Amino acid sequence: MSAKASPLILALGWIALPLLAQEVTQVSPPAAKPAEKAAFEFHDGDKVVLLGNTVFEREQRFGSLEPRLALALGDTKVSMRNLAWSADTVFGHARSYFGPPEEGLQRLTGHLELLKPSVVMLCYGSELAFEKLGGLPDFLTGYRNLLELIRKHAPGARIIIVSPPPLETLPPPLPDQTDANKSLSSFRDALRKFALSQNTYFIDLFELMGGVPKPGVIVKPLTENGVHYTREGYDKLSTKLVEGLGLAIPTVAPAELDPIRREVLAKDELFFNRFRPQNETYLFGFRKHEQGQNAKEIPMFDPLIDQADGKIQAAKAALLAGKKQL
Amino acid sequence: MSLRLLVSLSLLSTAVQASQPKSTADLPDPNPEVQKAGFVVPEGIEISLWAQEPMIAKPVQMNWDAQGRLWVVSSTTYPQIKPGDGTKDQVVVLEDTDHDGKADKSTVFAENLHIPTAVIPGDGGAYVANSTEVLFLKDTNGDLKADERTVMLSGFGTEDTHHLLHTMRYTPEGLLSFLQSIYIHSHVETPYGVRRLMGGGVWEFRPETRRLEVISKGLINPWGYEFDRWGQSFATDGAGGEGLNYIFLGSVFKTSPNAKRTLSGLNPGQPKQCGLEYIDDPHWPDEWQGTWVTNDFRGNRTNRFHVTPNGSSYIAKQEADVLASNHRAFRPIDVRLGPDGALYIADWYNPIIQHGEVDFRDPRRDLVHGRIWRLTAKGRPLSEMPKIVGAPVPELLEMLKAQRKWTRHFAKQELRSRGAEQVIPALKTWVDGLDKNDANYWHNLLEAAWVREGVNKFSPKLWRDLVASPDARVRAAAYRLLTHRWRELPDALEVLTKGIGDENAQVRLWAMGVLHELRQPRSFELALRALDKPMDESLDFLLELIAREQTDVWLPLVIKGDLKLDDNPKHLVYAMKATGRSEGLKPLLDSFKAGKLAADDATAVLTMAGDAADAAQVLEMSNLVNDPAMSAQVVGLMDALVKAGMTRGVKPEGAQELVQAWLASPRAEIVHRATILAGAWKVEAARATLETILTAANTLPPVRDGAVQGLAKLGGTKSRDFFDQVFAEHAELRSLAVQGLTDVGPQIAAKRAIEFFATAKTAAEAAPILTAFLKNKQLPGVLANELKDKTIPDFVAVEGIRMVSTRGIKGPLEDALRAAGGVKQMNQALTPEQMTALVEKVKSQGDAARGESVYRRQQLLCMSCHAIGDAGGVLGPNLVSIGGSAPVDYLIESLLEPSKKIKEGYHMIIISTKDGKVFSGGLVQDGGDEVIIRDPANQLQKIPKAQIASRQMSPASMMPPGLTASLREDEFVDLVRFLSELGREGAYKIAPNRYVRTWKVMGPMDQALNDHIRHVGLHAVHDKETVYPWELRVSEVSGNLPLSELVNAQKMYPWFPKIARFALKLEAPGKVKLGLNAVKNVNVVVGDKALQEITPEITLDLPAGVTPVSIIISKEATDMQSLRVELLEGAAQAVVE
Repeated sequence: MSAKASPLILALGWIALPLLAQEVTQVSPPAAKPAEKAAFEFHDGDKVVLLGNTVFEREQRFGSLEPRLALALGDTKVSMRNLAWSADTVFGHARSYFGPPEEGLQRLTGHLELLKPSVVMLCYGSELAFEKLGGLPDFLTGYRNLLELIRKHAPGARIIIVSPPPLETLPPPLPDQTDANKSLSSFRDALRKFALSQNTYFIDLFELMGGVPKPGVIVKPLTENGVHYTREGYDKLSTKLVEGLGLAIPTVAPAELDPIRREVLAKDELFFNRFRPQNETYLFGFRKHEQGQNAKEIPMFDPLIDQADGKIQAAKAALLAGKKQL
Repeated sequence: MSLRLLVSLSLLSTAVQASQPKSTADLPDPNPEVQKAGFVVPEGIEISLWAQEPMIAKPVQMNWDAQGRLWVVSSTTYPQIKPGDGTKDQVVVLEDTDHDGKADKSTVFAENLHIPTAVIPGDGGAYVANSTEVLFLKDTNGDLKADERTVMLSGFGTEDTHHLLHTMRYTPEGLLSFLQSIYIHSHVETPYGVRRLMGGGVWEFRPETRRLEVISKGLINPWGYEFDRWGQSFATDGAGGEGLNYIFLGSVFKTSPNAKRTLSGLNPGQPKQCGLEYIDDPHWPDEWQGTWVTNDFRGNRTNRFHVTPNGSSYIAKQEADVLASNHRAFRPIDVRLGPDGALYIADWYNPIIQHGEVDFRDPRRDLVHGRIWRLTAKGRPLSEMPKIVGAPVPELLEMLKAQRKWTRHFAKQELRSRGAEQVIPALKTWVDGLDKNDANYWHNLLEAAWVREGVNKFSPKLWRDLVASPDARVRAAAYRLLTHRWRELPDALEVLTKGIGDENAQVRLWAMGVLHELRQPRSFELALRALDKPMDESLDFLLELIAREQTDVWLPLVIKGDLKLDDNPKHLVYAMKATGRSEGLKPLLDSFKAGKLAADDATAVLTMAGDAADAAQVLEMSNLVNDPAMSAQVVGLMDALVKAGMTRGVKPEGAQELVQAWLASPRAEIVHRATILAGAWKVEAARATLETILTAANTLPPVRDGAVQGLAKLGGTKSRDFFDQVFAEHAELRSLAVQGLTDVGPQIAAKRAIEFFATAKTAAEAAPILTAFLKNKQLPGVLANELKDKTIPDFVAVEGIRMVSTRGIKGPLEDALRAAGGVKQMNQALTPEQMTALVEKVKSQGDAARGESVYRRQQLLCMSCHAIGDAGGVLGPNLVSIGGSAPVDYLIESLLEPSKKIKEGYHMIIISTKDGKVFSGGLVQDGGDEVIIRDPANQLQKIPKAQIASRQMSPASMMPPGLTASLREDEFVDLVRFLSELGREGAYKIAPNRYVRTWKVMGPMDQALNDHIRHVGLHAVHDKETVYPWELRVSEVSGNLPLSELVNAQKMYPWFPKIARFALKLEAPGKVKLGLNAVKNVNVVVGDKALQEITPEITLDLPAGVTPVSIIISKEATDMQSLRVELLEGAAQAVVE
């Protein structure tokens, strides 16, 4: 069953509404309305993997995306795993530990083979805001290699490329991000073309989150340092991401999401300790001949994560059931 | 009476011996009274228990707040979260509300943390290092509970949970600093771009701007960090063993990945230390002020260091211990001066440390206890805690004058929280009102500048006042501030011109630190002016770092001619040498040709040419060889040609004519190098000449070696057949022939080698051939194959086995040697029952003194690879505190099966190069263009990265198995007992005294040498031209050099002495006081003079540089069993030349 055709949603007359009042004071009109393109099709049982750097990694501190996507999908059940890593690049820098970036990609390969995702959503490249765009050709080559790697090790996975969201210029002494946003804007254009050439779904999160901000300081910031999002920021970011997928989120009060959110946070924590366990050096690295016997504990997270998935689905079903009765 | 004595003695020996629990039944008594009874505190110090479980469990790191509350981070999850366990670790705030010297209130500020390893209160909450993240936990309603959690930074590595981000401290200006350790790789996004730090290092973070920068890199596990009164900072290392490390902007220490060069700590050979505090509180006696306190958590004690400026850095001298304990669960890991001036020590309380060598789930791990101990100075008044929170700004400013760090520190923190608008106007008034005649005037002014920095408002005027201070410490601090602020000083380059020429070396170092930040051609030109004043290690380090890391900034301009560095050729040579690039070579060779360079600069240029010269430059150099004016430089030039040709295959046009002419030279040193070049340059026409040279009876040995190399490099069946023919026809050249054959005909080489082994009389005879067979990956297999069903002498086989295992060579060769030589080895693995019995024997029968003499046997090789303290080999881990950290069963296992558990940092790395060579050893440096490893022969091997085909970490230890196989069981038991005592309270912990521990002792002298000294006088023992048979020796743990290990000079009438020598190194001229354990019948030679009078304490007036000192002990000194020399005073280091 595909979500966009869900008769249930139509029957209930759910409509897409911006969920939050929290808005950047001045929102430039989106250049291309996401509604004009086809929605991304989810299937029952889809395993969605998030891949990218800090903006995706920290989502797991808030658990804002998965509840919204779950609700938008109605009876279609999907599971989600967050493989994002702070300051990662398409080359695998942050996940490389002791080795060169290629080892980071090898580690990612292992995680993809473990998870067997059917959908991979990527958000990479925010570091280009601080580097000359001369780095773009290298970046796109790296991105192409990364997609190849995903297609090889997660055969059949559908890919979604997300552009990094804009930065905010907060009051001094925090830095002015005007130039960085200009870079990100042109980077987004290149990324859109790249996504098209790669036949992947593209979400222009840069524009959905307001595009290049008007000059001046932002009054109601969505980030805590100009770069990384606050809770309110993630609520908006998640809403926009679901919108960007061409899906509609039913009207719910944020508090109604809490029971699902709690289970999502619990699952994300378990999964974090599963895929990125501490003491990598001793468990799997060059000192595993000393304490590698302890690695047997790591797969013990798997049944716990499955149970946590079940609780998410149960919480979602409870909320949906409540909605139906209304 | 005697019975009681016996009982108490045996109790003592149990306590000392039972240092490591063997089972949960053998754990120490956790009763705090028992633990307290185990403390040994020096006269005048009192210890009491301030807090204990359940108020606090497993304290990891702590910091006070201005209200006198102690914030402690605590983890019961360490070392690894269990599947299904929640995140349960805590930040706990401890308080002594009734001021009776004991905590009475414990509040859980935050929980749901995951192995948090640092906490520091501030900004209305606390910053916490929580595995991958730095959190800010805010208390919004003042109830001492965190209500809001913000991730301030994320992306810190967790590859090892005792290396996680840790040790949060405030800098003197109020910025946050924190450290990470060797296995951690961090990638952090900031509003200024991504910051990455691989391996250990020091971070600095300004919360309000979110700016995060790396200040220093490297160190193994630096859990101690603190600043002195003048803003200079030091780190201690929980796995590094070099005591205090002086941290300055740009400094890089051992183990930093890709570091081309690293700095050392101030006290090589120290036990590993954790936590660091600077004593600056009137509660402590005067002699404690300005000293440093840190913890030897392995040895269950707390140490103190006295630091003296030395050039741009420092010399540190260890003082008597502050605290020692024979309770094996006492693990002092953090140390802080408290609100009352007392010293508070966090006791992690655990019989088991580490989780690399002991299982994560080992039942002996303690998860419930934890203590804070409080040390006070008897009879001295406690300090009073000032009221800081809420105090008016002028009062807070007045507190900056306090002679107490606590007061100044928290006043600054409070001022910072008030913000610039409130603080700056009052600060101006305060500064204007400062008394210029006050002895503390300059320090007060420095505090004012730090306050400004804290509220992020730089004042160029105040800065100019500071930098004009007559006090060098203030000027150095001013330049340290300028590293953040040079953008706000329009004439920065002008003031830096002064700074780089300052009379004080540390001021120059910090001026250079600013130039390092500037990254401009002009700033580099300025930095080089440091060369016009005396240089030292830190200055040289930083200057070279700038030259190398900023090559792209300045080199293009030099090549274009827009930046001239050759006004002073020294500057140019230094800069170019640092780059190691061939484009930098041109101006240098020009200067070389023009004869502008001093001798050492010329040598440096030629070394660089070997690494970087291209074909045209090689031709240019070849022509210089033939230039009569260059006669004196021929050897250096040709060595450079050999290096360029052998390592990079660079050859000039007209190579054949050049080589053939040189081969006909009357000068042996030219012929020698020409033979090698003939091979490197593939001059086939020279083959016949090389063959003649190789076999001619009158050829000098080095020339003959060169001919072998040349022929091997020429290669082909011709070389192979020729070598084989030499083997058959020239008995005296058989070894050389086999060595040559290994390159051109491995199979034949192996056959001939075995024939040769069969006739060998000694292992030494076979060694060169064995070595030749281990030089690449293929040869060992070839030799192994050939050894099948053959017989060789057992001593040859043993030598081979030793070489194979110390080089980490896997494959069949070791077994093949064992079979062919019929070598039997002791059964290495012990059954659990055998292990238990042996552990028991160590306890009941082992004798540490006998064990030390076993340890010192030359053939066991212990000392050639391991040091105890600062004396001994560096290939293996330092054993200084092994007894405090390693259980007896672990020691036994490590001796019998070295590869089972390998200490971090001592893994063997095996590198294969593109030309098929194999190098193995301990990684020394992995930076820039080359990897440096220390091979099993203790030689540094530099391998250009471009040549590396593969590298791997070996699972095998560099320590060969079976080293102890020759020992009887009782000797083995004594040895283990000795090791198990090392670092523990008692005779086998290295005393803090600066004893001379590494010596050169005179070996057997021939008649001529004896006569020389007799005729010239004792001072001739330091003649530079005379080659004496010096041998390296190290002192015992006690500092004694046993004289029984020295030989008498039998013919040196009238002394017939034993002679031992060391050297003193000084950065600046100064006085040094030595202490001698005996003076009768003892003579001392210092530099080129024999001292007239020998007293137990000798004060020397020494120049900067290295001065040799020899102790000459006459045969008459019959009651002298050992020699001990101590550096009592002075900024000198004992070194071995």
